[in-house]
Amino acid sequence: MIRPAAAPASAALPISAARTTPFWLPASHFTAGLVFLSALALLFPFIAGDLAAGRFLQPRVVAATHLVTLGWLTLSIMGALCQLFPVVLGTPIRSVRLSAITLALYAPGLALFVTGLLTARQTLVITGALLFSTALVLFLLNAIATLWRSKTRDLTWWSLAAAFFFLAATITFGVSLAINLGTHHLGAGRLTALFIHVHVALGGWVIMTIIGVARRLLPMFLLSHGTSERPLRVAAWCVGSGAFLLTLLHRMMTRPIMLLSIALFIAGIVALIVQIAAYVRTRHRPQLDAGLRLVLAGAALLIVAIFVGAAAFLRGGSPLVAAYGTAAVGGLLLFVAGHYYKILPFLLWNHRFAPLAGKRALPKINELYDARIASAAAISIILGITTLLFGVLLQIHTVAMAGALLLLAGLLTEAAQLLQLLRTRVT
Amino acid sequence: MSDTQTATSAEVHEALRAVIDPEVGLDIVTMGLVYDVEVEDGHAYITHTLTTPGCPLERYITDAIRAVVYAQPGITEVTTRLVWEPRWTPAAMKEN
Repeated sequence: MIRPAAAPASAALPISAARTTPFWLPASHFTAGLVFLSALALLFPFIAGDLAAGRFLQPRVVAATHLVTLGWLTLSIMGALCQLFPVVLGTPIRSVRLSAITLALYAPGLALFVTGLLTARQTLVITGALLFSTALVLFLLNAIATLWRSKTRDLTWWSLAAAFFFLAATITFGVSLAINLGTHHLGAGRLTALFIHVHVALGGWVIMTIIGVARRLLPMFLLSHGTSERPLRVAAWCVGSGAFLLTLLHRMMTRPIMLLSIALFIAGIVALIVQIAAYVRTRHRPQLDAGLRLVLAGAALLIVAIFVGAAAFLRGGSPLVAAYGTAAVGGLLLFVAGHYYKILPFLLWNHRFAPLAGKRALPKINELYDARIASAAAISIILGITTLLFGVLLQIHTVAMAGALLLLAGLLTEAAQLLQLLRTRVT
Repeated sequence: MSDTQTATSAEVHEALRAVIDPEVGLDIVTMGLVYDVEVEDGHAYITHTLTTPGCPLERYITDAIRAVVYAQPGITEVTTRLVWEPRWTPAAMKEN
């Protein structure tokens, strides 16, 4: 047998006790994320008509897009990484204080930015953009310092390193596009710059982070440890190379380079889906809860986005571009929305109930929220995004509006349920 | 307390079924997370693992093991050891 040496009382504390992240830090990120998600849900009925008409450059559509990408996807990643750094890299975030300052700049900045877009007040747009861009730079400094301290150099580490590089590139392209509003220095290359900005953000930043983190989270949630990770490695190489091509060659962008980067993105996303399918196939938890169903629906929507995106690139036309954006951003929205149902209850349980170990009977994590409400929300969200997508593809305003209303109901239900969950106290 | 009143290794091992993984909903013995239990002169030695290195439940699982084992008759000291070899896989769950 392996006999552990008797340890002094102080040494009996588990290793993680010294490297846990304070609950309030990820919780405050997730709370802000859910507030932005609610604002996005309320905006959907107002942009459904624009999307169905292919008017994806309308300020309110741009506002909604930034609510998803910055208010939901990026903020959720920032919050999740605060909690997940110890799990995936073996080291906590470098500075908790800097994380708090980052959020204090980021959330109001984004709120000002979106308000400015919706009310056509350029001062608000510029002030907001300056605030959240500064916050993103602070986040990057903190995240890179955390990577630096980590002793692991595995697929997760490299994926996150690449993701942080592409976040920096996304900020740079975004600033350039913002300056262009006043100077028009990009000229006819504005749409190409927008293409690069969006794809480096979604592919290089969001999907690379998903690749890095999902390899630890999905096996944990599905109990599918030991599954081959070869598809995930292919996904990381392909998505990373596609985003790198766009970033490196942005000044000499040609259609063949764009085609090559798109082909790499498609190969990478297909490989990611193959990996997720392998995790699901080898899982030891037969039942898929609302969170995992949302994750899988999000993955399926990314496949749809590939086909619609390919059609949009080859045939052109605003309706197809709007449909592609709806599918791609919608897929990632669902993917993250699903993880909220896994991460938040876990986080809350670990903070509020774990200290009571051995003192009283404790609830299971899935008993912290009503599974029927979660399922209803998930169904409404999945139906909503699917209906919206059909409405945009078919250019039928009423269908798009029906989808937007289903999304509104589903997203508000999820946000309300999870915000309520965060208020759970031990009685 | 005399030796006849002290819980045996098997009894302590069985008692650890009271420690539930709150995410999976199964106890740590059924999940195959407990690698070894030995009791000697009222001192229990528990060797266990977790499903994933860096698992945030590490503190909870360790605290719960200690609480459950201390509650066994005759146990006056508990030493836990968290190990990562052999690495846990769901196959360990099947065996249990």
